[in-house]
Amino acid sequence: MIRPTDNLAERLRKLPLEEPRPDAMTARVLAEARRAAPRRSIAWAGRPMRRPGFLAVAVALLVLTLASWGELYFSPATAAALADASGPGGFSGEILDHVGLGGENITAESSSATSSGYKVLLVGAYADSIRTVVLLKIAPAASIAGDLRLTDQFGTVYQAPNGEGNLETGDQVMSFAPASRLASLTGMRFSLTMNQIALLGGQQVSGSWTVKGVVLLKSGTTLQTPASGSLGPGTVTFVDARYVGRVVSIKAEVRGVSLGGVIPATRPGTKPQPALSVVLAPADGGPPKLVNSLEESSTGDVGQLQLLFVNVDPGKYFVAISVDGVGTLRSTLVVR
Amino acid sequence: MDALGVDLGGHTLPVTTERFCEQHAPAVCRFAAMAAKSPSEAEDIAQEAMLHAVRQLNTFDPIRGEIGAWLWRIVANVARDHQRAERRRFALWTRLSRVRDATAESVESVAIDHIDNQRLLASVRGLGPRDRTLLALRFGADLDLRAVGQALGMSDAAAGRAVLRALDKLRSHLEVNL
Repeated sequence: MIRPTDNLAERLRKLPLEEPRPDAMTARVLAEARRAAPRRSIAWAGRPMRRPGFLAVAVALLVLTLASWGELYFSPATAAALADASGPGGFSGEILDHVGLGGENITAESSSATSSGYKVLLVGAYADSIRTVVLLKIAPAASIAGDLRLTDQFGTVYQAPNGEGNLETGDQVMSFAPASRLASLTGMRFSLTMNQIALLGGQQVSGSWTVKGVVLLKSGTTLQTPASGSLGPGTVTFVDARYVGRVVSIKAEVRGVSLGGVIPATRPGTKPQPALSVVLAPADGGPPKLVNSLEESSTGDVGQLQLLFVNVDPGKYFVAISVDGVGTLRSTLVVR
Repeated sequence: MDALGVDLGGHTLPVTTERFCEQHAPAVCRFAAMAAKSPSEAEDIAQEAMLHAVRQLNTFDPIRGEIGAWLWRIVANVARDHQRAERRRFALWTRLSRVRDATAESVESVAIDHIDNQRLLASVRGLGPRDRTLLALRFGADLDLRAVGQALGMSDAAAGRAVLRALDKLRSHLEVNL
């Protein structure tokens, strides 16, 4: 159905608004950003900082609690509460492929919840040191639309940065941040809650669904790190390489060269281009794999780079890191 | 002032923070004005979002996409944080929303022309935070559906459907208050 949205949309586009003044706001933002210790937002400028020792005390209390309560609840691995490790039947192979998972890696789950006439079934889960993934089926078919909250047995809440689904079948996969250190040691007993789903026609249905599952972290294989080398005036040192569930994770430290630059647009109508590019190219000449996820951080003069490539089969590859106008480092990685 | 002047961890970016602000602040301000419940909240959202962006400029990851998409993800997150307190109100308006038929829409389209701006803005502010964010990204900041989707972590198609749903809710709200 084509909806006549133009009238309302045009009214919204032209709606006079009492907007903050960009120039005044920019001046305040730049002044605040110049401060030496940028830990507080402008809105919180008057609020005292939390004492740094609080976290350490909280962690110590948590460890004591763990020791006294034992492992029955908090360590699913020792409680022998693990679900069948075989792959979940009937879940979309296409969606699994997009997120770089094979059915054999999934821990089958069977928890379900029904609300407002819709059943949410937790089909499976997968976790490793890179990510936590849950597979859901919603019947009648729908997709997740509202808040989604994954909490482990220690109370850690994981954000859902990514998701993919099929509104016709109700298959939905959601990727969360990797398990906390505690959960990764003991296995993860999680609760997943949601409050809204969306139907194919666009309607939203509110409700309350909570499903629970248990998953152990896949340990994967530690690979020999690629040889370090020069990148223009700087150096790249590979510090970690892992292969877990057809996903290759590579960590590197970069010194003496900036990776965060962009190539400005050359003329009106064109867009800035990233200066950094990374590929994983099969040594036999097959098509290179583009990086699926790239995270960059820095400590002092050292930049940390974490690269993720999905759907990688065992074999010999070249990792190529290029910075436009600076140079390229090409190093061998053997995945096995 | 270049990017180094705002503590960007030693990274040299070929864009200055001032230029960055100059390019994006107007759209962020208009977004905030539509997404917020009040002018003072709009100030807070716009300022906090731009400050977050400036401080994290060195973490911008060009391989993941354009700097605009990166910025709007930050803006949407800041707006969401501000809007969390309104979730209960959001649930109420969600329950009030309903699917409309084509005949009713054509009649309603005529009615929309006669709604004054103040009432339209009040109706936008009566929507839930997620719908306000969607409408503000699409029609306030004038982003295309791809950029809206990137800002909110969804596909272009999902963003399109979500915007339509938000417009439907706005229509329902306008009708209730006619």
